[in-house]
Amino acid sequence: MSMLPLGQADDARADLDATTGSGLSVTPTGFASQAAEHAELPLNLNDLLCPSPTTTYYFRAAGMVATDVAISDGDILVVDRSVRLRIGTLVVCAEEDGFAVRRIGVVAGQVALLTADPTLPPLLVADEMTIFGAVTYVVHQVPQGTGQVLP
Amino acid sequence: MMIAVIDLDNAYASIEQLFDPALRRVALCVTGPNGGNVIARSQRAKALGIPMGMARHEIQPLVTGGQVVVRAARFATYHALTGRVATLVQTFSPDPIEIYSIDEQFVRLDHVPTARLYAYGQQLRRAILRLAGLAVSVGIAPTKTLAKCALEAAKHSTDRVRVVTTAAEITDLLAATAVEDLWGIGAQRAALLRGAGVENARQFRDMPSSWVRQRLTVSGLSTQAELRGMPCLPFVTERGPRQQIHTSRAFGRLVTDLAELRQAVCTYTSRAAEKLREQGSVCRSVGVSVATNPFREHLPQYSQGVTLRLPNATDYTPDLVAAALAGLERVYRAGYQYHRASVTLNELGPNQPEQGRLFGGKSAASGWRDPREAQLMATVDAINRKFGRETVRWAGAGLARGWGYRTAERSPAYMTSWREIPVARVR
Repeated sequence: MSMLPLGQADDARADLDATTGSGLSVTPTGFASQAAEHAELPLNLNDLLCPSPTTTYYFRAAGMVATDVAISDGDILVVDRSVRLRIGTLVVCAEEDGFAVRRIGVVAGQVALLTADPTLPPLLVADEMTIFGAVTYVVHQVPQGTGQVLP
Repeated sequence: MMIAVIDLDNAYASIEQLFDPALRRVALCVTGPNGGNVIARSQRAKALGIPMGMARHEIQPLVTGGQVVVRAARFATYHALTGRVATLVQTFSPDPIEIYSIDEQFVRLDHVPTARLYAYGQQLRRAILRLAGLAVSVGIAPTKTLAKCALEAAKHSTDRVRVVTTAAEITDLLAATAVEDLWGIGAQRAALLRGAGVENARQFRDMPSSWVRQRLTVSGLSTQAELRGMPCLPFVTERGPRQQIHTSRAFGRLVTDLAELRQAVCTYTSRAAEKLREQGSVCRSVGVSVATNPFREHLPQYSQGVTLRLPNATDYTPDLVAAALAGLERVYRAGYQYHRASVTLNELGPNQPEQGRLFGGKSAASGWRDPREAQLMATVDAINRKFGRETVRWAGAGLARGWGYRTAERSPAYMTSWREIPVARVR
């Protein structure tokens, strides 16, 4: 929306404010800006990363082992509970002593939660509390370098 | 008409267990933010027979013995999560729901056919379990009071949903409800009813109305009418601004020093003033009270409160702190070990800054306010909203806080601080 600065608007009103013979009050509003009809909300990262705010949670990734998705130590994981789970979905799940990132897979015909490390045993889904939610985004801060500052 | 009441099972304890899987298999007690007393228990802690309100130090032997784990409450998390649950519940109804308390909502079910009510309750329960990770119980009946009775029954059932619609179902439910468990009947009234031979809700419902009106006034009468299936209690979908703002905490340890109490009172007043400005109100009087720990029976006991009236209604923190500290000076007695302090802002009204200026001379007594005061408050509030509570705080609130949290047991700010979000291992 485009508006005249306040002072100018008042001046314009003083010049143009008039009462027509019919008794109707006429107030100038200025010529509508062409940009106004094209006004849209600017981009907002929340709309991209968190389309479902009531079901989205954030976790901090810990661990340095390379996985099939690029998650680094310290990254922020966006986890949405409303996402439909499928075979292949990356999830945050509850283990004995805390949360871990695993992928939903199938072992011997049974749904199981797998890690990239083949030596670790798969985790079975015990109840609705086992899977916290699907990992939908990974927020990673790029290191800014440590060298000489450019002029 | 049918009404559902939805209640989070063991709300605070369940939320702690949602964010920390290691707590799911233990008997968990949640205490107040600074320790104090037990305010929530997990199913296992209930099974151990730990009552609500038990003092933190009384469960220490069980903690040492590894039978119980304690978390000190983080209300910011509970507030955020229960708000999400209320939003989810709202998606289940075309009419506005009533948020009755932090973990309880009423929903009007005019749109659901009677035969579908049970399925509706189960669907709601499954949705909240999946989308919020929390278990709820659901009671459905023709009035709010009957729905609360059905909820109590639901909490003791395995399927956690109880629908009570026919006259016979209602009579059975009420016969199984003790008068003490009736919503709207306090301990005193229950004792009065017991004295008259009324032991369960069915007997209460069938007492003559004139008798109830005489003994329990009009409010007892509306409870009785609700039990007879006539809705009497209003459905409150919007609450006005609060009429009173209360901040009260138990200290992490006993405090004897006036200087330390001053810091605590200053902190509580600053926080209350922030809430006051948040809802666009000003207040006219400030109450302060201090108390020793009633559970430490061997220590000398003292508790006292005082309310001070301000010259002008205000939301300006320094004025409120000055009044609160003046109140503290009056109630403080040396030689006691204090356990709790509280600050209450009373006589709230809308903030209308122009009014003072209209009548205004330039003196405090006539209500003229320096506009820079409002600007300063707005700036402090904005900084604290953006960078976290108490980033900017009043020097009187102190920097070293001996009276503050037992940090080891404090529940992390899982939903309100990037530094404290839960950790997920990757390997």
